[in-house]
Amino acid sequence: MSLFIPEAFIGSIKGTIAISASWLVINSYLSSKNKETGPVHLFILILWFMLLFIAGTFIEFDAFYKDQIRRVSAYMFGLLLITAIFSSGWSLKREFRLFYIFLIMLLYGPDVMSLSFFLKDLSAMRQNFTGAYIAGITGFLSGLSLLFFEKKIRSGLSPYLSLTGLFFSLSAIKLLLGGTGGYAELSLIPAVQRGLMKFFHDLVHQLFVFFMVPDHPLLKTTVWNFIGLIFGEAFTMIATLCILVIPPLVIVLRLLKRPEEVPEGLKGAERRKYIHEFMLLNRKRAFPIFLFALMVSFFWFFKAESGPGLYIPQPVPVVEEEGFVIIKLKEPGRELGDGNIHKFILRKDEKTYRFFIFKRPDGKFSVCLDACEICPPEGYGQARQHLICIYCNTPIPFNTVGEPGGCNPIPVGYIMTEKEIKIEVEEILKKWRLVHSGVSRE
Amino acid sequence: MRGPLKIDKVIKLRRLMVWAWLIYYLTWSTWSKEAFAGFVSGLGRNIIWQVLFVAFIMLLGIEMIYKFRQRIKKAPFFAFLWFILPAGMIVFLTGFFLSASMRMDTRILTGKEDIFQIPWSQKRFGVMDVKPSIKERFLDIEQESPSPVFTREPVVLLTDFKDTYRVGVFPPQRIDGTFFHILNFNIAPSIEIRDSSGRVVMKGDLALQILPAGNIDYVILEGLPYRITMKLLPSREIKRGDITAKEYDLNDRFYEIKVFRVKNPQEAGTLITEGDSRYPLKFDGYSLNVTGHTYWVLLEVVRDKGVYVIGAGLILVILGILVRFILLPWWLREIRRLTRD
Amino acid sequence: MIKVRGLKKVYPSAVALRGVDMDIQDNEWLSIMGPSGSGKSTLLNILGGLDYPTEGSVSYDGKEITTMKEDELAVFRRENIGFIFQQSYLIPYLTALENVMLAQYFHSIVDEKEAAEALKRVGLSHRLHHRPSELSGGEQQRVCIARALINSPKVLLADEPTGNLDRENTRVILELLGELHSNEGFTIVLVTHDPYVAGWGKRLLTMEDGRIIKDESFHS
Repeated sequence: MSLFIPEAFIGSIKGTIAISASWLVINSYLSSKNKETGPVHLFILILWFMLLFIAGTFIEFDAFYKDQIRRVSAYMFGLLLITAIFSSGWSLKREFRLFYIFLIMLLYGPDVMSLSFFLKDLSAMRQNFTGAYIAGITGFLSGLSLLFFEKKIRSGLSPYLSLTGLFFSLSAIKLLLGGTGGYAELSLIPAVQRGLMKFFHDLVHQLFVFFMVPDHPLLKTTVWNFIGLIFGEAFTMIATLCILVIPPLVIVLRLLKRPEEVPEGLKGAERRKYIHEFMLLNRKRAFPIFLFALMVSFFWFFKAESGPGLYIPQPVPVVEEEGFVIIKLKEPGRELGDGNIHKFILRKDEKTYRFFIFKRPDGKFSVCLDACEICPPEGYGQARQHLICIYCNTPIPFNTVGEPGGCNPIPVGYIMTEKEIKIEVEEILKKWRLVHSGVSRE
Repeated sequence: MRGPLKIDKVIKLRRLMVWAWLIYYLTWSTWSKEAFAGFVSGLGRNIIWQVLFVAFIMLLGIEMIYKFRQRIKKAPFFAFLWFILPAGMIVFLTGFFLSASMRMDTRILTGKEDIFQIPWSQKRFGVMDVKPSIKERFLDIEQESPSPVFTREPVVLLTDFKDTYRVGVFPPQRIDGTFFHILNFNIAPSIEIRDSSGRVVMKGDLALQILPAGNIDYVILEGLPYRITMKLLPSREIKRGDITAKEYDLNDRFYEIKVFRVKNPQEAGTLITEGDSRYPLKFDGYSLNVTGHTYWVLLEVVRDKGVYVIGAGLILVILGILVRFILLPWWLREIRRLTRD
Repeated sequence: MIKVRGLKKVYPSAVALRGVDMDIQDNEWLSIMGPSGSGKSTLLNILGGLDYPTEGSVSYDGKEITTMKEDELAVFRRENIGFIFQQSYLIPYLTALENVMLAQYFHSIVDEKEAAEALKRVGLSHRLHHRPSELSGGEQQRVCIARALINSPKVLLADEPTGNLDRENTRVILELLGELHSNEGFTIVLVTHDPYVAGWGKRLLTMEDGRIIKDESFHS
């Protein structure tokens, strides 16, 4: 049995580096205002994260809460980003050290808890408690070693940090090092993307309702070709990039400008020197923001290259037994409640009916047809926070799966017992009739 | 003595509201239901939301006017150009509010030679003709998206018994301040059911969704315990390797018909007979004939004053963006260049 | 005020300065005369931070420059001192205006209008876009003055500024310097071996063999 599990080390060092780096960045910013935080603050911070870690290790959270905690992490990132964009117009009269300490606590609280879940799961999975926790603690201590370079880093960084730069730097650190369980969770960005895309989609959709543009291709027309363009993957990807990258770039461009006003009385060389120093300072301050935009673009490119990354499982054939389809909750190699969609296919009277079972983050099972009332029945794929209609790309938030109407998959009634889910075949056939009929014609 | 209105405080409140809205949106779109749809429907019904939204628009307006007044002192002409964008945004939001709270709409299923009435105005319209614009022959190839079956948009000719109007899919046709457009459209096979004595017991057109080809749709017969499903059948099948292409010829169209016996409309029922529409289908002493076809149309009818305001707002916003980000910077650059020279 | 104390400079082959002490007041025009090899140019170079002394100190308003590092000294020079030499050292492929703007660029940022204004003050408004080769010696030296003064230095150090000029042009340059000196109020330290040129100053130091042998003040 190995005394060192590398995944545990990576997960833990990543989290600790993120927290230490955020602390250093905040301290560099505050030092330019003569407001450095002290050892007491560091102690509070470490105590807080230790408490969270211990809570995550010893309290049993069920899947719903675990997922909510992970979502807080992505949510905090979104909020941080918006704050960063808006903060370009702020001037703070007073700086509160505790506010920043609190910010780190909030930003990385969920990550630390997720890390403790991760270590716990890892030690259970590998049946190696010692290995997981020794590696975890080593990672933790290695990450903390960053703090020894505080003075050097602080003096080097502080000219580069304005308030906006600080928020963008924190966003960059969170983007790069947030989340747990290996580097696959660079995907904080898609979480934000989905949210933004959803807003964009909703807004366009609402405009279509206002102007009576048919949203879905019930009729093939030239107009639809344009609409299809707007809802296509390429367009939304580009829109997402614009939404994420344009605001920081606008801030950078603004920072690169000459000062609009020079203090009165400055003339000649003094005036030029003022402008020069102003621009030099702003150029430095623009740097972290530009870096953030560059990083987002890089990740975006990475994501655009790798496609939408939907999870689309092959449907498993099922048979009718006395008018019912019966699916066991647990079978070798399959667990219905694992948070993934499980697709099934029923053949009856030479026709096939696809449906899926999905356990929502709130713990409720949903049984739905793999189709909605509007689009041709291409089915759904699973992304991080949403099911996505493969035909029209509409994201469906997990917790609304199972509710009827619109772009949502058509829900099917079911009977749940301790070990299985029973679905009436007639119910499936009945609901399938709603598929792609556009409207109800009763 | 009381001072003038502390406009700074109002502006701070506006910023607060933008923040509140952002946080609300992020929270609800991340954790809960359809945020935007919920927002719009809330705006339509809920008085608290309406009051908040109106307050938001007003505060936005106050700030814009405040900034406009500051600018007009410096350069009146440029201040007006600058004002186009914020004014557009305010007009747009106002239109949004008007539309969400006052819009009236309905959907009407109709067909040729039908007469219908608009619920809010009691005005009657007749359907003079339906021009389907469906291709007469088309191929449906497996593993490809459904082949386009329309040569162009279908059109309905409506009359209000004075004038006639052409109503298509987009853009909507405006008649007396009410907008009409086609929301859905399909073939309606005409059937006739006779009993054993040859008496016609039922006759009519079935509004079925059987295009794109391959779709199966059903209807439950009124007064008879049957569900009838229909599907368009290809006139020819062409096989090349694994792929099958089906050719449909609408001049010689026929349908696959299945008849199910049902106890109530909710159940699927049991299949009692099936066949194709070229021959009469016999079941339980009845005989079903397809005698021809017509087309059904689902019209969406909307009365929405707000849409004009939204349109105006949108035009102003686009114009404002062009002026603000292209024309004004260019202009100022030119002025600076000229004054330097 | 510039304070010089115990300044010595020893080259491997010779001793240039053998202990110089002096004070230069703000807004003073000081001329330094002496025969070749008397150490006047070495003194000027050390005053301007172009060279380090072997011993002794030079301080500007209490700020010691002989202990500054190379890069600190560069910043100090560019913000406080202007130089004029016997050779014009103008960049031959740049116009008069561009030569002045280059000095602005090394200081902070360029400002074409201000550079043109500076050339106008030295009477070259009609020569802005001429290259050094298209200018006479006197005109070149005037460009140098504009370049030296563009960054508003506190001190102007001039090493034989009129050495290459005829009497008429020398007079023009000195008149110009005099006018700028009284208008803008910078300190001038001018090294020359020409008594006519030295006579334009208010104070004259005479050097010999690395020492100051005479310090006279004139009151006009």
